[in-house]
Amino acid sequence: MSDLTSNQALIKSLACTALSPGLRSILVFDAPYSGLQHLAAMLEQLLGVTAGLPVQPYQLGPFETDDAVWGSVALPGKAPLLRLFSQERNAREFQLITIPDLAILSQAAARTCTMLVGAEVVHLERHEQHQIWKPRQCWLAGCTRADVGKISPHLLDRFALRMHWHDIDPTEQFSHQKRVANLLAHVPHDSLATDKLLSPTMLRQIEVASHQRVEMPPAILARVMDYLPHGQSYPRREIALARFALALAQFAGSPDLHEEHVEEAARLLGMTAQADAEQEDASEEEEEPFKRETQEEPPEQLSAQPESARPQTLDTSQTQQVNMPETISSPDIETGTLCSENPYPEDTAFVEREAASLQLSITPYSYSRSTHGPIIGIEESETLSDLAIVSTVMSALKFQKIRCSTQQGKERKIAFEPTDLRRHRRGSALEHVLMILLDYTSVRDNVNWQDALLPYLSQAYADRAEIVLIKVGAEDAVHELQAEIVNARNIIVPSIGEALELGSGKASPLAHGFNLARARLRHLFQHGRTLARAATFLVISDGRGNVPREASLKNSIQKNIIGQEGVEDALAEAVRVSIFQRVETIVLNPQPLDYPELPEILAQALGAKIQIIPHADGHEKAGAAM
Amino acid sequence: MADDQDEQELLRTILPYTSIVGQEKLKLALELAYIAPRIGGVLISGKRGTAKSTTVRAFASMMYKRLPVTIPINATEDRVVGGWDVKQLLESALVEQRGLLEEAHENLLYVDEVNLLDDHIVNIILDVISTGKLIIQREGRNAQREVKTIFVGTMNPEEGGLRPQLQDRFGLMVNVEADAGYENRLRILETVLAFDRALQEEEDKQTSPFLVQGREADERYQVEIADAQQRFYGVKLETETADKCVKLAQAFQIEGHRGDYLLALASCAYAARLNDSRATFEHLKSVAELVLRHRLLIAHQLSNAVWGEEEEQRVLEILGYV
Repeated sequence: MSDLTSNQALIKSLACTALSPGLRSILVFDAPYSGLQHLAAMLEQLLGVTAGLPVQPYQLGPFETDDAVWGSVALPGKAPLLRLFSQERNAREFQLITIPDLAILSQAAARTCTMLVGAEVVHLERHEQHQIWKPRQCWLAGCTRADVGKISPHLLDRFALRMHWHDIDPTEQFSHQKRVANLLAHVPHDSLATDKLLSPTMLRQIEVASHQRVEMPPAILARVMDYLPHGQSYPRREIALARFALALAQFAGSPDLHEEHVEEAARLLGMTAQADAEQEDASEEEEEPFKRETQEEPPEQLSAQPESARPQTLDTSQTQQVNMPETISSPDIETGTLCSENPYPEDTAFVEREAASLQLSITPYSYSRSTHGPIIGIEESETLSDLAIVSTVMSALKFQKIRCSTQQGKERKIAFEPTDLRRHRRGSALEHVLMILLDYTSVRDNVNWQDALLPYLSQAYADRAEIVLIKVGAEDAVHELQAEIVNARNIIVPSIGEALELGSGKASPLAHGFNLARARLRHLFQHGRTLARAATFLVISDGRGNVPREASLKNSIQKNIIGQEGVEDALAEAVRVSIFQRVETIVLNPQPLDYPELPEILAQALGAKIQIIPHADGHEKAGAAM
Repeated sequence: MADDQDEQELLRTILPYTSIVGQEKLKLALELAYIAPRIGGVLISGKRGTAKSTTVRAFASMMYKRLPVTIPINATEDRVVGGWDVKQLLESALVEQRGLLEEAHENLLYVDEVNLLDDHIVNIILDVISTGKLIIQREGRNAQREVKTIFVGTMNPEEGGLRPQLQDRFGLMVNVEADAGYENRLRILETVLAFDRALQEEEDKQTSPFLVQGREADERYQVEIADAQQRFYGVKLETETADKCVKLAQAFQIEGHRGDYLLALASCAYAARLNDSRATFEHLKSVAELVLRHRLLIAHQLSNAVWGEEEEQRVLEILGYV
């Protein structure tokens, strides 16, 4: 049996989900897919007791379109397609929907979640379908804590319960025996079968609890507000905490809500009473040196089993009972917590999503419809461009009996009208890419290269351009003989800003930098469905590469004297980059004191324009070309 | 169409309007739009979890005894405008299926997350709301219907703004904020949990005192609002008040004359609500923000219109209170 089932805090929390309809939306941070599966299996068993209908698990991911989720017109003579959400389904089943990664959900699915998660009533008004129903669902979603900034808070706010999955430290070294034990613990076995996860005693307890009524003294309810920031209001969080406390009381069979239920709910959610938090902040400021020493200790990563029970060496007779590396942070009942870190990281996360991410995308280049973006739906069309064949045919089929009633003979052709035409509705296409090759060793302190770069960054922001930054000779290079590439969805991603602030290393693997640039451009313009329309390639370099291409590729220098090889290799690679048609290349010339003609030679090799970067004193070299 | 039994069951899951804590401006806006339908609708803007949708459904449930006609964000044109019954069509029978706009005639038309709605659908709604006529010319249908409706939209401005053309179509706009006051927060919590329990009791076929009292209070309140609607055309707009309507619109640089008209309408509606026979400066003072906020020039550039102490002070000055 999986160790998760001995995690009392977790079981209790999932039981509360089964008892309280208002808690049936759970967000788990940093859980592996197998962990989510496990949680889903446990939920399925628990909900089976209280839902009153068979529980059916489903999954939403990055590919769902509106038609897949909500259905469309059925083919003549055929049963209607079983759409995911409908009045019929809702009447015969309780849905347990798992979202493995909320950050990469398709826009259609994200919009669907906005409509459904926590909804009182659902309306389906699509393709002649008209249905209204009260949803019977439970939602279980996973996402990486680091990706929270990519998700709309409008969507995140709908998840009532938050959990944080503590995984093993990937850098931790395990003994061979422990690795074998972990492997055995992860091998799929029938303990994931729903009917074997939780004990009959537990299920009976939930059944009894589901009939328990709990009185709510206002004075005890008022304790809930102690756990939310003063002077601000987060209605859904307060309500979730209160419902959780009530459900805990219900689960315990208590006829009244007590303060300890509120405290337990807050502890499980990782919330601290605001007065306590302020005191902790004050004491932390005083005791900071002491705290630094203790930071080496592992945080509240308490395992499912008490320390004493965890075997230090593998006992082959008890292999299945060895502590699983993946555990919800929860020890014994008294100090357990589901979320040892802030359960609402979206409050402080850096925004990495587009503005209005749930709105249907607009096409920035209005003079021509993009046929490049991912398909996110279907819409009516007046032209034959980007035709959605199946939807067009389905649209025509509705009228065939009427249109073809006069057709004689056995062979009947489908009669189309212009009004049947349907085209793909596409998401944002990769319209533009800004690629920057930054040679850190060539920009000195008295060169205003960042000011020169600013207009291009501003334009990239306006164009919603994807960013590719090629770091040549950066101080943080993992291998100083190699350039590195940083890709970002847009200019506001923090990694780009951080990279632009780096200092200079010692080596200048310029040839490798151009080599990476060429590979990336080839991928952007020749590979896959989502191809870029155009790119701007900015090169900030003095042209003095001092690492031959071969040395970069092998990550070692064989010769003692390099001579001009680094420069020649860089120029040769630059020529290979120049062949791309839809790339506008600009060399930003830092006006080097040594070999001042090299940037111009580089620009010629690239087929690029050249722009002078003024020195900090505003000096420009006379006769500089543009 | 969802049959009557299903809809009645769904209505029972709606929190009684009179049980909603706070949100007085929001409630006022809905009531004014009901009393004077020519106001043209209410846009409710506010952050998540501020009971926007709950209040609209509760109001519709109280006044119309049914759920509002709702256009979800993924609605397709055929359902909004109307089409053919597909099952009948496949059997060569032409049977019309009413669209949502047609169903919204003499009802409340509701769009939740209106800023996420497809632009194409928005255009259709714009056209119908402004003309009061639904023209159906698609799939071989050629028909025209009258549509008189109260259009209510809710939105979270964090998810993007509304096109100025659509924003202007709403007669009134309310900016809803989460109540940070301790007492109200506690009352909200108590109400939500009491409602949770009441729903469970009804599901167990028991009588819930909370719901019984709430529904009875709603019945009484519904009569008050309906009576106010009857009184509306008897309310007199004083010349001085009309003068102030124009001055307010000019002072806030509202384009066109629609602002003047709406200020007058809203003042009269509020007077009717309070059982007053004349619309005075007091009524105008209370409704000014609802009418003017989303019509300010700056509102067209921001996803969230700004109305603060400065604007309030200006209203008071123009009305002669300071």
